[in-house]
Amino acid sequence: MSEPRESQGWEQLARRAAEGAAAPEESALLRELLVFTLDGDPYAIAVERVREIVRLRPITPVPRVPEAIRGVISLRGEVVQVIDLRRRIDLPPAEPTRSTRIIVLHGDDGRLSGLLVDAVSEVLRVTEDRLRPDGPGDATAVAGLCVRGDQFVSLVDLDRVLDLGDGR
Amino acid sequence: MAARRSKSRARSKAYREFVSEAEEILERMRADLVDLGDQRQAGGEPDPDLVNRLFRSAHTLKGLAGMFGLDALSELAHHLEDLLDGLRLGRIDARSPAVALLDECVALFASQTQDLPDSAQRPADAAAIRALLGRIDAAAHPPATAPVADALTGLDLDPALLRALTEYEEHRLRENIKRGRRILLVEATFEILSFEEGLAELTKAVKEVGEVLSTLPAPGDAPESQIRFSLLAASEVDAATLAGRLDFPHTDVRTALDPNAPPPEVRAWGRARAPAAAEADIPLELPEPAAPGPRAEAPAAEPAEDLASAQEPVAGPAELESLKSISDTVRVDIRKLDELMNLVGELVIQRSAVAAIAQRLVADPATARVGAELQKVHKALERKLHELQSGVLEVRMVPLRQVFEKLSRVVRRLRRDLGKEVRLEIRGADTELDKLIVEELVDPLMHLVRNAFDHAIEAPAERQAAGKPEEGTIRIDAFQRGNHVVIEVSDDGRGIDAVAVRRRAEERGLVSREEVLTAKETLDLIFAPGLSTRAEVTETSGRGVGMDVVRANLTALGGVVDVASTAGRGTRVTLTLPITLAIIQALIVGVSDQRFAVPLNAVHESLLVDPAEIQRSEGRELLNLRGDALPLRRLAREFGLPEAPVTGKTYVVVLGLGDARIGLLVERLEGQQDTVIKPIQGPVQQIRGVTGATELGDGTAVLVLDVSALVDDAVRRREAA
Repeated sequence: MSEPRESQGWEQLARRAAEGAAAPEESALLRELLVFTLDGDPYAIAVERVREIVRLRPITPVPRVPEAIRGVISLRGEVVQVIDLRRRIDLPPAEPTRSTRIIVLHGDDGRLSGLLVDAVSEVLRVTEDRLRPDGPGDATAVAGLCVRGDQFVSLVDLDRVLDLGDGR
Repeated sequence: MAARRSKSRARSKAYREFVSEAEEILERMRADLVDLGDQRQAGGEPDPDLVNRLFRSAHTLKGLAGMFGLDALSELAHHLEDLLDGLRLGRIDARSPAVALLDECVALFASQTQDLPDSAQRPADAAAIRALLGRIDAAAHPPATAPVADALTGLDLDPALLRALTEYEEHRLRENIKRGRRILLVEATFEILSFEEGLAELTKAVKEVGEVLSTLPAPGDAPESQIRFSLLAASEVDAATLAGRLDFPHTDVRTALDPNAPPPEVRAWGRARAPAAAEADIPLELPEPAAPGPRAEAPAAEPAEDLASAQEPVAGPAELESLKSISDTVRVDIRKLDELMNLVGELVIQRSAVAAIAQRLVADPATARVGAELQKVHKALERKLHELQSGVLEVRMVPLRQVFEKLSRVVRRLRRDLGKEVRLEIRGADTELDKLIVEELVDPLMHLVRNAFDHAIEAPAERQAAGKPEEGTIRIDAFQRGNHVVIEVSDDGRGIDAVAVRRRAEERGLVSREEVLTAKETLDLIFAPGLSTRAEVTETSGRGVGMDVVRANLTALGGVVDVASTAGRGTRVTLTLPITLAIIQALIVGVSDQRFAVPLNAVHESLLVDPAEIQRSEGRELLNLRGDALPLRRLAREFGLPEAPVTGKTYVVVLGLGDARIGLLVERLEGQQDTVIKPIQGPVQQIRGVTGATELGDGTAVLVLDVSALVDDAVRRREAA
């Protein structure tokens, strides 16, 4: 109870966006992105895919699954696999910190998945013209870039990240 | 009417409900019609209960169709009702061709229901219905026959009692008189508090020797706390014999009509009874509706009462009443129950958090008193939660009866089609199981019964030669045993030919010629994929479905199947199933820093084993379990977890579904717990060796082991070796 609640704002924003309550007025081309950090760099995913953002909680390891899956968490009775995004995109491993978060995504088929990230920073509202579809050439999980000021934010290709094949 | 229809149109959901409800009723009617057909063929009188049930079904259909504005179907149901009414009142002879129309009616109704578009825009096939209606009318209202001389004149009964009989009861009375049975009047007095049981017992006892024509509350001078009933019965035995059989206090039996005795002396009934000639005044002629009288309040004659009011062809208050009774039952999507179950599961978890807080408070002297209070409250909460949990579970429970009825229909059909004399005996149809499990049981049970019918029961000549009764018997017993339900399917057929099974298994390469198997192991080969001991596949036992599928189905339900057979004497297949899938008892085991849940129904025992007892054969670890070799698996190794060095004794959990057993080596046993198994969501759809996960009190997820996969893996490795 004494822990800071700074993630609450994002959580609400994300939920509202996901529910379509914050429909863009100014431009039909407006996109909302949830920005988070991995190994010091900003990454983003479409807010529509986010169901909620939760603090790190005990993750139960699961045998016989691809290495990128850290395990499962219990989310109010639902059991959800958590993908360690650092492992998934071959970044060096890191110990969890106070800002570590699990982003819970809904899949097309209604199944939930969790994404373990270093920190969640903001919801970015950008117009389509600030998106660069081509990412760094050899990336496996980045679908493009988004310009924020003079900084690039990597757009994560969730479909590829979540495609781990079916077991092993 | 039009308004009603357009309103209904908007409710396609309601239509689906109508269809599903109607289908259920039609299903039941089909079953009853098959029974009726059997009785006709046997040349006997149709069972009044059966006809009444059919009549009630038709009546309900009529009400339903009317409620949904489906006038054509309602009309059809109405005529069906008419036809059945004629049959139960004896206006239509059971052997008349009119009875065949019943089948047609039900079939037409079923096809119309199936074709019903969501919006019910398209009128039902009016032409087909009208054509059938015409034929029913012709059959249901045959030219009136001359009234027979009144057989009731000779009865030594209170005319008031006779007047109170319904049309149907009177019909049965006449019918029994015609057959020369004795008409007896049983009068009994019961304590008002317990009369229902007493009356039920009495009725049962009387039924053993005859037919109960009517049960009426008897007027009289019974004290406040007591109630008197008259049972009008027809029987072959005389009053003294019946009285001798009835071991009830305050019960008298007297003869109202004895065909073998001279006409009884006229008795006085309060007022002087009129001589026989005047009895025609008593309004008893058949077409008269039953006179309203003391019957209206008769509490004990309820089924008959329903029917009496149901004869009213237009919707009167009685009909509204019966529609209301339909809605007493709520159809619930099982997923909604699952959601409730989940909620309860979460509450259970919250509860353990409260327990932990209470414990902490108690431990601190400063807060010990509050803590103790909280513990008390927590106890009460725990009890209520438990009740809630069992309440929700109970809602999911359905009796096996429905499945068993399907089976007996199948057997009847087979008997007719194949001309084989086989009787199906069913016991324990009221045994309850989770609805989902019951659904999944239909196919395996059907297969077992067909197998028994087709393969096990010999031809009559063969049976006679073996000194068995010509008629074979298939028996189904269901009963509860602890947290399981056991269903046994047994037959008195030829038994399983172990030699043929062995030969077949060798042909298929399932066992080698050298391998030594016990009798039981040989028998169990029938569950191996692709093994059937009869070369030819008949229509009856189906194609491609074998005992392997039965076992797979059972395993998927967390159940077990076993077989026992004696050559020449018969076979018994035993299915053991958990009562529910929603909550399972699990054993929590630990390896390294992990915990796992093992479904308790797969746990046979747990052993504390000295590492020195573990033996090895070709690198595989074994344990000598009372003389049997128990293959061991180390859970840590299976799941790639760090293994703690074995220092002292270690735990082995003996697991098995069916007959295969393995020993699972774990480091800790952490107790038993009720758990709700949840599917694991995420990118990986199936994790071998894991069926799901469950949340423990501290909010962490714990994986639930898939015992059948673990055992299969072990068995496969043995085969590969």
